[in-house]
This record gives sequence, structure tokens and C-alpha cells, in this order.
Amino acid sequence: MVNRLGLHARAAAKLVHLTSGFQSEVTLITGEGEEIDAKSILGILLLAAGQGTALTLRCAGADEADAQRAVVALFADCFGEGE
Amino acid sequence: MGRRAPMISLEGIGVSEGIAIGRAVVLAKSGIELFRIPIEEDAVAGEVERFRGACAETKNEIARNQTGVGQLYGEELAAIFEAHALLLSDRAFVGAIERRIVDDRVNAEWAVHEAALELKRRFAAIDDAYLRERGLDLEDVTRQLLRNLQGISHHEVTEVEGDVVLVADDIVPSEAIRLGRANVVGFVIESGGRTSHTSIIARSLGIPAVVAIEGVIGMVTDEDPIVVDGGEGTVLLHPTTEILERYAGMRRRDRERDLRREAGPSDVARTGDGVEIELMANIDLPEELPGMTKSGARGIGLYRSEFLYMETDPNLPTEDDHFRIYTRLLAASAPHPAVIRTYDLGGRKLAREMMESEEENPVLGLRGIRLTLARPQIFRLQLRGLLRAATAGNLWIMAPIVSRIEEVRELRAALQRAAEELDSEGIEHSTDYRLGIMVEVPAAVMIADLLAREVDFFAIGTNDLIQYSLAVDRNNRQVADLYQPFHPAILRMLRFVAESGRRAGIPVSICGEAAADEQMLPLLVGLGLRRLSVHPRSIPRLRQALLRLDAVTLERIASASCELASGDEVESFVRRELESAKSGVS
Repeated sequence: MVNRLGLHARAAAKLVHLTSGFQSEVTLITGEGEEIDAKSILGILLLAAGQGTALTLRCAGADEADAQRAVVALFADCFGEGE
Repeated sequence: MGRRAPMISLEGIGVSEGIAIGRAVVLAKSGIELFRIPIEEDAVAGEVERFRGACAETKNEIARNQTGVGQLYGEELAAIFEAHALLLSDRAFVGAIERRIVDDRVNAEWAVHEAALELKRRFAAIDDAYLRERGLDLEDVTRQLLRNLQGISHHEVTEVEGDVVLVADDIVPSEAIRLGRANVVGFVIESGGRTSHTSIIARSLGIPAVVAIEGVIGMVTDEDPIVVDGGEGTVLLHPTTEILERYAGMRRRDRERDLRREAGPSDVARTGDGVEIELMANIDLPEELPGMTKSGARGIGLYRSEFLYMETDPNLPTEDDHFRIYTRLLAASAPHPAVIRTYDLGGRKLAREMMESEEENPVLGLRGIRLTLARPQIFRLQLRGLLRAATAGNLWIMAPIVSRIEEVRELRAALQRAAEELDSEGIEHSTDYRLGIMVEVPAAVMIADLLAREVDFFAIGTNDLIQYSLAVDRNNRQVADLYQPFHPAILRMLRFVAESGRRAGIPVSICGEAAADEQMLPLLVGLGLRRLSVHPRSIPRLRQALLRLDAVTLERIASASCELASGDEVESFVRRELESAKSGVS
């Protein structure tokens, strides 16, 4: 039974775990210009409300290139959910 | 010596007998006092530390819940727990609380409370139901956090010197258990009734308790001297010296009588004409085991495993928690059976983690055996604990709220799977157990003859059976008197279940309140029931009552009662018949 609950929470948790490992600030920016701290579980859960919006990723810091690559990969892989 | 406050006498419902004398400690708002308290400049740093400590403690609790749930099924649940834990690491969330403590110079509880309100606001605005649910989850986390912050004030309750009488408007079962085992000698609860969990826990721990006293909180201050008479339902504030002495005397006499009480006979009870009736004990907490042995009970007729859950709340019991308690129960009852009922949890009784959404009608919802079968990874821990403990005695496993034969078969299969797992892990266990069901849903009564072929025993839960059959909520004062154990419909059901058991050669017991009711006793025996499970305290008097009864006469009376049209008729009929039987006329 694929539980929708688990899917969202799992994806959000994965993202936060990933971004927290980097020094850089990682920010997701919505089409409306709203900025979400990608290290904040609250921020990400609330962001999911606007699913379907195009997001811009901004990384700033010593390891920003690595951070960028990793986050893009996670999204591209659909968070490993296969959907 | 200052002016003494006048003595105040209050009446409520006595739910656990005994005398308690002590000093009042008042807990308002379900044990969580939530006030905005300004704090001194130099106490701010300490307050932030206290908050961080509570965060850490809450994260530990969440992690324990996660591992308790296990790997496989736990993935989905684990993710939710994960999100909870992450909230407590969320810089924005945590940072905002710490900033509030520092900037507003306010206590951590208030800062958390405001943060929780903020969360509520943000999530309430969202359309997506799933996400709103997540919002509720997060609110739960803040509640957990608050509880851990308050852990310090509860710490204070147990640190108060001398005997404490807890005065609260309500108290959660896990707190009742925890405090009852510490220095609390009496409970005075504004809400609640005889059957609420706190009342049951008070009785199990032997702590005097009075409930349903409206407004008591407003009348009591911390440190007030207070006397509780749990038998009469009386609470005395500021007792005079004379009153104090009188109650101290009563308490002393109670204690002496308890000490003097010798172990009762433990051979099987019989009616006047020699029919054997097994008297067994209903047990909720291990504290009751010595009393059970003394009472002469021949085994445990019902152990409600929800109480284990309440003890470990907010964490789920681990497999070892299960194993330990069941081993104790089995050892204490051996060679007699210990009938252990699997979780009867659902709706309000269960952590949000196990339920996906609020139910409008939890009594008719996902509860009992349905819930446990729907949560195999959690249930697995209980089953493994049971099988491992089975080596310690005579284990009978029982499922609650069974309405379909599939539930029996699925339970059997789940037990087999658990046994196979233990086998492959090389862990000691036994498959030498009996498997039975609570008969409490009317549908189960109607197919009792068919169910009897697939189980090893029945236990009739009269409390719920009567409520479901007569469609009466006994806690609803407007209809409480319609809850009639004597109703012929109930008698006919009992008769059918007893007969079904007899035909299939399986034992049938009664473990609801009706079993301890001396007025119902003649009918129960007359309808063919031969096993009763009751509070240990009731056993000696039931033993005596049985000696005064003649089974043959009772069969005739019970049979005739089933043909009467109303509960009132049954009651007066039975009374008349018994009186004339006594005076030798029949």
C-alpha cells in the first residue's frame, strides 16, 4: 500500500537530510518569488502545497557546486520514489 | 497560629475505595499548566537550556518510537517520525522559540505554545487535507515538547515531601500510572467516571480516588491538607483535627485488616449442589498480582494489554516490554491459565502515529483486532512477546471486538508467522498456547456456534455486548438506566454462546462487570456459565454467594427468564424465585 502520507514526509525528510550535510545556504525559490530554506522541514512541507510550480534552486557557500549537483540529482531521481 | 480555613466537604463519585490523607498538589489543564511567566534577565540562559533539554528528550522519544515500529512497515511511519524529529532540528522553528524566550523574557512553555499557535495558523490555511494532517502531527510534536518541559513540574510533584493527593481536572493514564507508583496517595479528579482509565488504574494500584467533583480545582490550593474517602466519594479540605484523627483511625484499621487477610482458598468454587465454577481475576497492572494470589483466583481471566501501552506512552511498548509483563503474568497464574487480550486500542486511545485520520465514530471504527491486523509491524511485537513468554506458563491469547471468522484465521496465521520468525532467529519460544476470542459484538454471538469450531475458548465481554445490543451508551446519563444486563435479549445471547461453547467442547467465561454482580450471578450460572473473571477483591464474596445457590434450581429460573419480555420482569421474577427457593418452597 503506497501511503501518500509517507511519500511526502519521506521526500521532505530526504531533502532536509541532504541539504543539512552541506555548508552552503540552500534556497528554493517559487515562481512567486517566495524563498524557502531547504534545510527547514517546515518550509519544505509548506512548499509541497504548491506542487507543480517551477522552482529555482540557489546555493551559496563554500560547497555550493556540490550542493547544487546533489539537490538537482535528488529531484531528478524523484526522490527515489519512482514516481 | 493564624486563622484556620474552614473545613469544606465535597461529594463526588468514589471510584477506588480507601482513605487517603495528605497535602494537595493541584494540576490544572490535563496536567499541563500553561501560563505566561516573565523570567528574570539572568534566568534567560537557563531557560533556553531547559528548552534545548526538552527538545533533546523529545527527539529521543521519537527515535524510540521509530525503532519500536521496526524496519519493513516502519518505512512509511518512520518517515513521519522523521519529519517530527526534523521539526525539532528546524532552525527556523527552534530559532524562533529561542528568540522568543530571549526577546520576550518569557518561559519556554509559553514560547513553545506561541510557536504551536503559529504553526496552526499556517497549516489551517492550506487546502490539501494531507498537509493539514501533517500540520496536526507537528502540533502533536509541540505537545510532546510541552509535556517534556512540564516533566520538570511533574518532577516537582514526585519531589514534594510527604503524601501527595493529586487534584486535577483530568489526567492521562500514563501519568496516573507514573504518579500512582510514586508518592501520590490519592486522586481527586474533576471529570471522569467509574469506567474511565484513571479510575481503573487507581483501583488497580489500590489508591483511593474520587472523581466527578465539579469545581474542585477552584477550591483547592497547593499544600492544602486534604482527606479522600474513595469508598464514600467524599473529599474534605482543611479537615479539623477531630476529623483527621477519625480518618487516620479508619485508614489504620483498613491497613490492619489488609495485613490480616489471609490467602483465600484456591480450590475451585462450587455451588450449593456441588457444581464447579472457576473464579478468575481481571488484571490491569502488575501491582495487582499479589492481591490476585491472595484472593484465591484460579488464573487470570483477562489481562488488558492496553494498560501496557498506557504505561509506556508516549512510546510504544518494545518487544521486551511485552515479553517481561507476560512472563510475570504467566508465572503468577501458573498452572492456571493467563488469558491475555491483544490490544483493544483505537480512535481516541491510540497515538496519532498509528491512525491516519480522525474518526467520527471511533467505537465503530478501526479498533481492536481490526486495528492490530491492519498494523502488522506493530502487532508483530506483541505476538513475538507472547510467544517468547509462553514458556513461562499456561498462555491463552484472546482477540477483542471480533466480528468475522476471517479475523480469527488471520490472527492464527499472524501467530504462525511470528513463530516461524522466532524459529529462524533461534529465539526461545513456545507454540503451546490456546487461541480464543472476546464475544462482545452481537454478530459474533449470532455465529457463536460457527466460531466455536475455530477457537479454543470464548470470553464474553458483557459490558460492550450489552451496549452494542441495546444500543445504549452507559456513560450517557440520559439513557444509562436502559443499560440492562437482565434484558431477555442479553440472557438469550448468553444462553446461545454458552450452549455453542458446550457443543464444541470449549470453555466459555464471562469477564464483564456482570460477572461480579451478585444479582446476575444466579442467571449466569443458570444459563450454563461456569467460568467468571472478576476483580480479585470480588472473589471471596462470590465464592460465598455461590455456596448459597443451587444450580438445578437456577437452570429452571434462567430458562423461564428467557421467555419473559422485559428486563424488569426478569429481575422481579428471579428475586421472587430465589426467595421462595430459600424458604424451601419451590
